[in-house]
Amino acid sequence: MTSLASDEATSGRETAGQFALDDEQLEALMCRPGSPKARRAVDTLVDAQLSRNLSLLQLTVASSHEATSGFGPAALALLQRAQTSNSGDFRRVLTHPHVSRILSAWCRQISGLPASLGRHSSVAAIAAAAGIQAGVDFEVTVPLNRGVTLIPSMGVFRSDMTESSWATVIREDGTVRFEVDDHTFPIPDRWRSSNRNWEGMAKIGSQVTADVDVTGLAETTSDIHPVADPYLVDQTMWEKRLDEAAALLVEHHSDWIYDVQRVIETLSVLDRVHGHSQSVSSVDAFGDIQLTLPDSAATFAETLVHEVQHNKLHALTAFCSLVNDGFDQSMYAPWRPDARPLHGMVHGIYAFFGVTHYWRNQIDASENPADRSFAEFSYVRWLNAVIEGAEQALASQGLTVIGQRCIAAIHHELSLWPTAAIPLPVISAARRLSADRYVTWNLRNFQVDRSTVRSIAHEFAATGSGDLAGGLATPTTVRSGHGAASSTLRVPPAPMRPSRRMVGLEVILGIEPERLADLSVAETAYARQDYTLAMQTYSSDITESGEVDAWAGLASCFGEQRAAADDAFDTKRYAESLRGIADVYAELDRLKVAVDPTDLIRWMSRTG
Amino acid sequence: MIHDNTDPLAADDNTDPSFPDLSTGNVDELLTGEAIGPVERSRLAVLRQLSTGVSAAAFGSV
Repeated sequence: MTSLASDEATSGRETAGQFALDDEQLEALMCRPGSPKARRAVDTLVDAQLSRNLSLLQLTVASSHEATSGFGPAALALLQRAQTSNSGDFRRVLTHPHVSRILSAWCRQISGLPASLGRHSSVAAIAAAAGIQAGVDFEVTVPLNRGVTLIPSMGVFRSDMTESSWATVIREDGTVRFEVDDHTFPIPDRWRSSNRNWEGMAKIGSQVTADVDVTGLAETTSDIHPVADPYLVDQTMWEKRLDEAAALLVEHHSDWIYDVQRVIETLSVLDRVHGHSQSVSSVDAFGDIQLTLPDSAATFAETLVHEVQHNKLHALTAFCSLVNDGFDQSMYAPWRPDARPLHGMVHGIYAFFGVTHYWRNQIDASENPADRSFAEFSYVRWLNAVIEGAEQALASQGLTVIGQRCIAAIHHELSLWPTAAIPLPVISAARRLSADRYVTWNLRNFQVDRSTVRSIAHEFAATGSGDLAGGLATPTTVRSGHGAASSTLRVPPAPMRPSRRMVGLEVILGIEPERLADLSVAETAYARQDYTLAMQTYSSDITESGEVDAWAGLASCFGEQRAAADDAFDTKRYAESLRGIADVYAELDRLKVAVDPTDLIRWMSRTG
Repeated sequence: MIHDNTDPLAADDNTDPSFPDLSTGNVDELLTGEAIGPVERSRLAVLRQLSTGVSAAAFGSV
């Protein structure tokens, strides 16, 4: 009998029969990346991946999906031989992100979870990959989809017979071939290369990520954007950009090197959508990042940090729950346009903790004043955002005991991070951005009871629209909760574009002065803190278009003015009433009652 | 064969981050055996993990 444990890394194992994290490792995993205890925790998460996938494979086998997955006695025997022959290669295949994704998809389908079974997924192909990599001779049958099958961790076979449903994979005397309907298709001896019917998976290297597979072929969930055509993946460009990012990590972000090296195995290439870059980590595929080609080394490095955090947290959620079952309250996330469920908040907090860490280090790495200002601005804005998000999560009553410990550790750690050396204009700009995002989010997500809106609108109309000095007679709560919780599987319906007012803040900080020409009169005035002009212009924009963004701009200006004049002004409470104000404005418009939006804000704000 | 009739996830009790180690035996025995004890516990833990879905981020746009 061959024991997998006998020759594999078991550095993270704490207790016989299970992988476990102690309190100190968990805390280090949360907020001290690169520390010895955090590394040990990452080792444990990585080491547990084989057991994770074996449990899913067991479920698949037990569910008898041979007719579609192709996994029968021959595949099972092949897996056993591969394990016995070379347990290291067996482990590498069984924990490859392709395999994790295939098994996750099958088990989602078996268990009634939201699933999108990739067109090229096949459990039998896992056994074929294990056999090839372990160097054993075998024959096994795998299903084809339109003549195509993915051999996970290796590449894609495309037969010429698109009507055929099955292929036999044969390894004999060190060579591998596919047989389909009496036709034979050899794959190259060096399987990473390609021929007419075989597309080997490209491998790119760097000083940080020595063995990263880059592929446009990974299966994907249905609501992620389409995967790029593998033939369009510019391997040279990816390798160059990754190497530059790796150099940046080595020079300035050494705390993250271990995690990236240990966790990231594949980069799955996404197409840009409307020119926007994207990156995604799936709970199905530990070790994989789906991403578009980053614009720069710095963006790539930040992406690696951000996504390695998601990957680690995904792995941790197999060890323990961070959110109580059945807790379905969603809330404001400073980094998203929609209301987020608590587990999404936890992911955001952890991922943007990494981003905050990245920008803190990047301040001293900056080579010119504009880059330094951008790093300072990014550091403070993410610091504020993560602290704000963590406070919401901690107050939600939805975290488990471990979840509380994890988020509290991050919150405590960030509360100690310094901002004293950050220039005041940067601090101010980051605070304004935070307030603006909260205002915008409330406008997008809060819903106000229609009868309340109509009541206020009629009161305004009844005053002859002229008693603006008097204000709303009856204090009325217009805050009545946000919109529906977003699906756990939902990603933003479209990439979010940068806030125009954020661009304005960057302009005044000297980060992107050339973009001044891109800004509207209102946005320029907002950036320059000429709130009177900005409010006039935003009011005109509302009258003409009624756009949420114009309301957000007007409201942000009004809030800034009030906050500057009145220390007791409750910015948050004010922001939460704005959806109601905008709805009252729309109701008045429907009633043909003319009012300047700014006057309506003042009128409705007078009652507090 | 002793069946573990306790709650498969009870050992988690939300204070002990852990995961069963299934990697120390023969794969054919594991895959053809009954899903009891550690196997069932690991299976339920992973299905719970999968139910949390995907995460996404959009760059330069948050």
